Amino acid sequence: MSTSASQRSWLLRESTDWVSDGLISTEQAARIVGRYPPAEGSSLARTLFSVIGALLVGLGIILFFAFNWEAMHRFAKLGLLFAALLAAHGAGQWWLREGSAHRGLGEAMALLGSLLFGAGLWLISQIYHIDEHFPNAFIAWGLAALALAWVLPSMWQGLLAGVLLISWGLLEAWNFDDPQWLAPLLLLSLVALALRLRSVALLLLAVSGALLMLAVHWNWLLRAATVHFVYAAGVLCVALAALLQRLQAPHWARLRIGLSLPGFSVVLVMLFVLTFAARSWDSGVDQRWSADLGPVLRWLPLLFALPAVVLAVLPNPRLRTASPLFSAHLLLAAAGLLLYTMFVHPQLPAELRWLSLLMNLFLLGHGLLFILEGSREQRGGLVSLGCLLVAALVFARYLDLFESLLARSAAFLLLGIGLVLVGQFYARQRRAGAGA
Amino acid sequence: MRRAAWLVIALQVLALLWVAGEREWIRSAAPTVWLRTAPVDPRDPFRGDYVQLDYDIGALSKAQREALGNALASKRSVVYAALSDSSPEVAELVSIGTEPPASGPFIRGHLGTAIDRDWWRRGDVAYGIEKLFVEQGKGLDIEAQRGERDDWQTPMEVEVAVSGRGTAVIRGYRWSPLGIRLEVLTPGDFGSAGTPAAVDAADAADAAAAPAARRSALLRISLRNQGGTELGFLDDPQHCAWQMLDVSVPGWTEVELNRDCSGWVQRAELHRLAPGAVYQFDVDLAQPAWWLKTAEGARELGDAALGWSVRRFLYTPPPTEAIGLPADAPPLWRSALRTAQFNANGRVD
Repeated sequence: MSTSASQRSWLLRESTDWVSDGLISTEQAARIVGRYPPAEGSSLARTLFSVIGALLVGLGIILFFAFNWEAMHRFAKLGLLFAALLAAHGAGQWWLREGSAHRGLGEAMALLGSLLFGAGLWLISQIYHIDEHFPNAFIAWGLAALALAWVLPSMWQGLLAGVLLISWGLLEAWNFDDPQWLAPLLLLSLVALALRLRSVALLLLAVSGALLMLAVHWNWLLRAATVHFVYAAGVLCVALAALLQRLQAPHWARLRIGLSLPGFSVVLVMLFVLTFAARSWDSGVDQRWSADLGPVLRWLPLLFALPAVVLAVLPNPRLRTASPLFSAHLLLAAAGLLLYTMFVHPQLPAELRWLSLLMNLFLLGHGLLFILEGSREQRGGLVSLGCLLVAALVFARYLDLFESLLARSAAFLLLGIGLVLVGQFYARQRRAGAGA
Repeated sequence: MRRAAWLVIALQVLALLWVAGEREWIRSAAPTVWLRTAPVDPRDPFRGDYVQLDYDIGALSKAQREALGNALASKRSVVYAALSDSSPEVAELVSIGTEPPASGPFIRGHLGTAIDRDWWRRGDVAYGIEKLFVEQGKGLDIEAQRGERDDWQTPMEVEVAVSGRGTAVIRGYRWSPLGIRLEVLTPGDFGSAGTPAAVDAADAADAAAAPAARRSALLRISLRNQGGTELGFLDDPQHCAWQMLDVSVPGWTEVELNRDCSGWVQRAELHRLAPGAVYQFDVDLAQPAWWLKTAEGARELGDAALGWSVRRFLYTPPPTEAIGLPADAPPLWRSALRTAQFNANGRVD
C-alpha cells in the first residue's frame, strides 16, 4: 500500500520513536516502513521545488531582457529567446514522456517554456518599441498557457493561465473600463480542467476568478442584476461543494474546498452587508437598480441556484447522506438569497427592517454552525471562522443598536463569555475524540 | 497528447515569429517619416526604462475632432492620420479620418478617450509608438537632452517606418537642431488683480495705463541653434508667424489676437542663427497686441474668465516664395514649432 508524503513522514518519525522507546528493533522498523512505499510518480514537494526554480529562472530571463543591453543586437536577443524557448519546451516534453521518472522536472521545464513565451512578447515589444494595448499581451500569454494546460494536461500551466487571465480581466476593467464578456467563460474552462485534473488549487483559483470576472465584466450586460447573479453564483458554489462531498468517490469530496471557499466568501459578505439598516438594500448594495431590470433578470439567478440547493440537501440513493450541518448552511444561504431577490427595491420602506434582522440571524446561524462543525471535526480554522463571524456581527451592531454604554458593555461581555465557552466546547470535543 | 502539445508549442513560436517578423519587415523595408515629439509638459514623466513620447501629430484641432464625428464616442476607435510628404523634414498632420487616405503616407492610431487611465497621455490619438525603450540608465541622458519646463527643451524627432496598412515602427531618433525655451519673466496674478472691463481697440492706449497689478504674465520665447551649421529662421517684427492656441480642452483652437497681421509675410525677416546663437523675443500678455479678440471686444488673457485657460504658441513658417531671400541665405527652418503650455499667470501645473 503506497503512502502520501505526509503519511510517510509521520511513519518515519513514529518508527524512530518506537525504536528509541524499545518497542521494536531497528530491523523491524525498517520492515514496517518498507511495507508502505511512497506513491509512484513525482511527489508534490519535488515538483514544487522544480516549479519554483523554473519561475525564478523565467523571471531572471525576463529581467535580463528588461535591462535592454544595447550592445546586443536585436537579432541576437531574438535568437537567444527562441533558443531558450525551444530548449525549455523540448526538455519539458522529453521529461513528460510516458514512463518518465522525472515528470516534475518536465512540468517545470514546460512552465519555463510558457514563461519564456510571455518574456518573448515583452521582449519583442521592447525591441520594436511597440506601445499597443498592453492587456493584449496578457490574454495572448494566458491563452497560450491555457492551451498547454489542456493538452499536457498540467495543473501548473493552469495556475499560470488563471493568474494571467485574471490579470488581463482586471486590467481591461480597471485601466480601460472595457468589459470583456469572454473573461468569466475563460475562467470556467479552467474550472473544467481543474475537475479533470482533480486539482484543489486550480479549482479554487478558477472558481474565485470566475466569480470575480462575473462581477467585474458582466455588469455592463446585467447592470443592477449583477449583484443578484454573483450572489446566486456564490450559493450555487456552496451547493455544488455539498454535492461533491456526497459523491461516493473520495477524490471528489476533497475538491469541495475549491467551491465552498469562494462560495461562502460571496455569501457571507453579502449577508454581512445586508445585516445593516434596511435602506442599504436599495442604496448600499444595489445603487444602480434600474426599472428595466424586469422579472427575468431578477428571478433567473434563483433558477440555477435553488435547484442545486434542493439537490444537495434532499436524500438520494446514489449519493451519500447529506451532512446536517452543511445542509443547514445551504438552507440559510438559500433563504438569504431568496429574501434578497424578493425584497430588494429602491422603494423599500423602513418598516421592513425585520429583513435586516433576519439577515443578522442568518449570519449568526452560519457562525454558530461553523463553530459546531469545527469543534466536532477538530478543525480549528472553522471554529475561528465562526467566532470571527459572530464577533464581526457584534461589532457591526455596536453602533447600530446600542446607544447605552451599559448595553454595549453587556454585548461585549456576552461575546467574550461566548468565545470562552466555545474554547471549552472545542477542547471537550477534542478530548472526546481522543478517548474514542 | 504529445502531438497536441507540440502543436501548441509550434503555435507559440509561430506567434512570436509573426509579431517580430512583421515589425522587422516594416522596420527594414517600409518607407520612413520623421515625427516631432511634443514639448515636455510639467507632468510628463520618465517611467522606468523607457522614454514617454507624445507627438505633435497626436494633438487634434477642434475642427479635426469634429470631422471624426461618431468615432469620438467609441472607445479606442481606429483612425488614420494623413501626413505631409516632407522627409527628411518632419512630417505634419494633414488630416485625420476613420478611413485610410487614398494616397500619401499615413499612420494608423487609436483615439484616446476620457476613460483611458493612461494619465500621462497628452495627445488625442495614440499611434502605438509612444514608448522608446532604452537600456537601463540611458533614459536619464535622453531626459536631460529633452530638457525641462522653464529650461531649454530640444524636441526629439523620431524616425518611424510605416507599412502600407499604417502600422508604425520606431527606427531611431535625432535631436531637433532648434531648441526652444518659454520663460516666465514676470508672472501674472489674475486671480487677485481683479477683472478689467472689456475694451475696444480704440481704447487700447488707455488700457495700457491700467492698474499696477499685473494680471497677465510677461513671457520670453527663445530659440537656439543646437546644430553644427548655420540655420535661417523667418519671423516678422510683430511675430504674426506665432499663433496662440487654446489647448484647455481636447481639440485645440487657434485664438484670434488683437493685432493687425495683414501682409505679415512680406514683412518677414531672415534671422541668421550661427551654431549656439539665440533668437528671442518677449511676449507681454498684458499688452493689447497680445489680447484676445472676443465677441465682447479685445480681452486680456488675465481676465478672470480666461485666466485659467491653457495656451500654447504655434510657429508656422511663412511661405518663402513671397519673401526676397538673399542668395547666401542659410538653410531655413521649415517646420512648425510648439512652445510649452502656459496660462495668464505664466505657469501650468
